[in-house]
Amino acid sequence: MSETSPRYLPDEWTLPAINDHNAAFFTSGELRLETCRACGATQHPPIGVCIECGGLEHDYVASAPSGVIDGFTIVHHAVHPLLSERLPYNVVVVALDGHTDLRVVGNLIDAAPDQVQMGARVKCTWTDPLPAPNGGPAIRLPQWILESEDK
Amino acid sequence: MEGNAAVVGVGESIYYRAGRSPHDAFQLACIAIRNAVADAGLKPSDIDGIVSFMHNGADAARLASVLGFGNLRFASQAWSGGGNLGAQALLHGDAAVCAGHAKNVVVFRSLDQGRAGRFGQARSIAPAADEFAYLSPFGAAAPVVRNAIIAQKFMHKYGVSQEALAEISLACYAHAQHNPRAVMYGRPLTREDYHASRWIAEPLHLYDCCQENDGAAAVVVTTSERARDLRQPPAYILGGAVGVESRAGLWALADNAYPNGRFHSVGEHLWNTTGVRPADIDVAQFYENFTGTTLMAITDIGFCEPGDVEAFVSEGNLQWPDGGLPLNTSGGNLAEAYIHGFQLVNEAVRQIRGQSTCQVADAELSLSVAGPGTPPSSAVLFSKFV
Repeated sequence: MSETSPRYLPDEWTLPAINDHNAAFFTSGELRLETCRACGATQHPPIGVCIECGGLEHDYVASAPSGVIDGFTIVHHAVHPLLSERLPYNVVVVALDGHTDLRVVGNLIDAAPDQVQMGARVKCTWTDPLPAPNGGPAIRLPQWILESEDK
Repeated sequence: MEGNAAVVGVGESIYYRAGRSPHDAFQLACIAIRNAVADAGLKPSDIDGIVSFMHNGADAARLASVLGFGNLRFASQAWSGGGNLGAQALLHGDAAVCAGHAKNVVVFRSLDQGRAGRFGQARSIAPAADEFAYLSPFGAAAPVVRNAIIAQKFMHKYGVSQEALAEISLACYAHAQHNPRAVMYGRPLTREDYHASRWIAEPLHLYDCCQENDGAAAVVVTTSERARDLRQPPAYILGGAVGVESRAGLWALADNAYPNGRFHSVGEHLWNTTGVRPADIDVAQFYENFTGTTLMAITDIGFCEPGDVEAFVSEGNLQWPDGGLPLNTSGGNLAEAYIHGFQLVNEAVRQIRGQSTCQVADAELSLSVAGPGTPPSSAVLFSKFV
């Protein structure tokens, strides 16, 4: 059972549109990555066709829920009125442990803006279940915490 | 064969701040296209091809009918992305006239952000599909956020400071002060103003971000042979390139070009096919949705190594009249207007004709670069001579 946390951005803010390829990533509470049944290659974001061999059949395999911040920004301007209450917010790019060049976009929670640093080690937690706008299983978004702040 | 076509007409609408245009995108397109055709000394009935990219509030057949074109023999759209497509669209026109599919092709872009929605905003909170499913729910819901991330990574990786970003902005604003078409004409920017401006998304200040505008820009392309008999000095298309390297077109910052690298193949092809080298370029128009990505384009296409980009853009090197590479001489997206970068093609042509408001003396090789941001990137090189 994974750790959960309140959503970093407002609950009403945009959620992913769930489809066959991304349902595992967005609803399982694990970092399930698209893994080709034919050649075993792992890719993210999932797209349904293996970029190594063209395979069309995939398993969605849990990856280690940790990595390193490989990109970020601190956003000060609300690109939508719903986000104005949350300013400034961060967006981070996490290079996942156990993979080469495999990156996931998310938010670093419980961190002041100056704690968001390149190279910082982070681990994954998940939002409390959020009702999917179009029905189906609840959505759980990955969110990141600094490893040093791990409780 | 490359080098067989030329731009013979340029035209624009008035450029407006987003929401200030009295005309919609279709009307703006008609204004710019009529102006470009008249500038070429042609009649609308001489036009038999049309090219654009993305939506313009009009389809080709309707535009051709309303504008009084002749038989419309060629219509196409450059595909994939947005601001990366300006030069690519022009190359469709080049291809069409060189292959004989059409004689005189209009290439244009028209924007009406006031009515259709501002590019800088997240326009909806509807569930995010495809690539945006991995970006928007986390607040990377507008281009500025995604471009801030790659700019930050680029600066971190290569030791680039905020001053390098400022140089792009300062050059654009300085040049716009000479250009009455520019929305920022009469609004000079100092280095102090730049640094004092608010953050939008770090490392991007307000003045690192392009404007949001309403307006249209258009050009007319024909063969070099026909170009000689027309009204304006031809801007010959010496070469062009479109490119996205292997696996650099994947999604959500997961591509092989992260953070930069979107122009390596474009530069290689451009220099190899034309025999021109970056040092030969007299004047350049580089797409600047955001200043950080412009720095990447300058390095990737071959003007300098990434680690040297700050030195390359400093000391006024990008500023007319004394800089080594005058950049965005009409003010660019930042200070002239953001017509999805297509107005940079018009300015590159003006430099060849000797008609820029920041005219580079004896300009013979004029480069216009579209993108990065989204792939594939594109570039076109104009020459004064065939």
